[in-house]
Amino acid sequence: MSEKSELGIMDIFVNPMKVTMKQFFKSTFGKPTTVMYPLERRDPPPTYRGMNAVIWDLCIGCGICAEVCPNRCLKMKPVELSDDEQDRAWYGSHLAKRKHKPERPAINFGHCMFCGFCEDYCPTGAMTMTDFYELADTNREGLIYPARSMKVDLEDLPQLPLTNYMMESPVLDVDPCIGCSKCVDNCPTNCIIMDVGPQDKTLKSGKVRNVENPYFDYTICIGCSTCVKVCPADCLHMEPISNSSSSGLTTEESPTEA
Amino acid sequence: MAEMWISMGPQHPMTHGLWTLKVKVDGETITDADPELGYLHRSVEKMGERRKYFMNTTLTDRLCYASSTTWTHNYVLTVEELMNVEVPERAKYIRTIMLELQRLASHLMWAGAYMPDLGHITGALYFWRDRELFLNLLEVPSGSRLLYNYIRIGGVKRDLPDGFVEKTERVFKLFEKRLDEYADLFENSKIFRMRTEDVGNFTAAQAQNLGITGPNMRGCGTKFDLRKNDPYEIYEEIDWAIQTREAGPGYSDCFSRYMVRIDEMKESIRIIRDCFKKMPKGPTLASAIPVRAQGEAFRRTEDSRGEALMYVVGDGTDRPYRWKIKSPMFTTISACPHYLKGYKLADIPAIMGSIDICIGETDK
Repeated sequence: MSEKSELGIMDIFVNPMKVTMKQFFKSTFGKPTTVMYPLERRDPPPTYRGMNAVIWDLCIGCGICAEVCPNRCLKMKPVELSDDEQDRAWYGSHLAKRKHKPERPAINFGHCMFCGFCEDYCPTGAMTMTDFYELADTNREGLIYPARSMKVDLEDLPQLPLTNYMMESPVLDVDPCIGCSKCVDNCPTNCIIMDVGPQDKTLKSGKVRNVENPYFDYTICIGCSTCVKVCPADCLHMEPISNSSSSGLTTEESPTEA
Repeated sequence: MAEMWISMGPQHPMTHGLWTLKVKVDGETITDADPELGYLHRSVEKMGERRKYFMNTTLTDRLCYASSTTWTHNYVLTVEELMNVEVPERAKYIRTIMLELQRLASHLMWAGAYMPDLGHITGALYFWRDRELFLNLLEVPSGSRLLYNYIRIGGVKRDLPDGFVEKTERVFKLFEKRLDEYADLFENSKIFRMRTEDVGNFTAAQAQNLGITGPNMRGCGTKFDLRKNDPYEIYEEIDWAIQTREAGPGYSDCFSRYMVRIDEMKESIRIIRDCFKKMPKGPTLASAIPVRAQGEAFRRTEDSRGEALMYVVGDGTDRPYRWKIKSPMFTTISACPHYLKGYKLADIPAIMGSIDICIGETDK
């Protein structure tokens, strides 16, 4: 090698020694590179993904966070809301009307990988990630955080607009619909109403009754697909936003068409 | 002297990760080698088939923990081709910045791991001290230090925060001084050169035939870089050049492979600076991102370790029907008998360290 012969005594001893001595003085008399951990802590950036916190009053219990969780460590658990919480909750009046208990997320942090999808896909901005990272516990049960333990109350609620991050919304097949209005009872944003449909049903007594169909307000639909899951007749399915606003019957209620 | 097989690994200081290298030695000289992989198989591809398209970026992050952004980017690029998503211009620039910061962090991680292989434990501390600078930079927009989950289908998670450009520039100024220190410590150090020069040679033709790509191939003097040869994102518009080195005419040794990576770090700094200059304003995430996909797509990108390729088949649902990952390190490790033969047993850490092994992506 031609370059090899160029290396002299300076390169072998002096130059590396210079760098080493420089670092020696720097680390002996200068600021330490490390942080004395339990005594002092480094400042995480504001975007840091630590333990989750749920802004209780903003949460509408739609279950999108449970759906997008890749590890399935986040589950929706039914909770009892006090009257005060019921009043303060967004769409609170609707929650009281529901036939079952409202749900809030509970997380098993032993499985959580802090990917942040639950925060990103939350349609109301209720799910947040704090900069708290010291979650170690002596047993596994201690890592399972029930819904109430992540509750955060804010004085000034940031009233963000509802956003459909799922990029899909429900579309109705009119024929199989039986007009049970289960979707209306379960919709977390109250974006469905039942109204007169095109079909009539003849009852046993001979009377003819109109079958009511659900109509969707796509401006506040968040694409959680709760209605699709609860539908007993399988008459709903999810379609991309651009398709669903222009398909058949369901457009009549949609202000986005105009 | 009688020949015998020696098993190095799966727990051995030479193996970065879990794998076994069986070498046949005649005295001190290696006459044959047999790599054994599969200790770290996590069935990433199969797991991906049960998750929705966007969820898989968490899996691709974990393919290689030293270079997670490049793998996530490769997956996202493939799915975007499958779904025909238009990525905003600013998001492309941010992606390129993040990719090059990741390349810097990955090469520093490799250099830090390579020095203890050569018995130079102080070297690890020097390189990993500087890797912290880039991890701190990557942490600012993404919110995590190792597994970023920052690049999303249709763009990036969020815009770069205020003051990011100035912070990066400060780090670069410091790091350029540190690169001069490395030149004194390693490149011009006779001890380092005696361990690495004329060891683990392979020719450019061998590299092409055996599928060795990336910095290992450019160490033979081959001008091949997918960022130039099959450009993606905005590498076409950026002013940069492929870095090559060679130990002699058309072949590489451990030292030339080390030097290529040092040169690539300098080039990455140049790319990021040019990106900051040319970056337009605008949105960072596409407005309409489909959830379902049909058809098939594959894309290859220049990973920190070579040519990474992903192949995704969609069957109209919101989950991939088939997802195949081609890892650059799998082929490079498989070719190891060709560049180990004829060298001494004590050279194995120097040779296997110089090709930048990452078992996470190899076993998947």
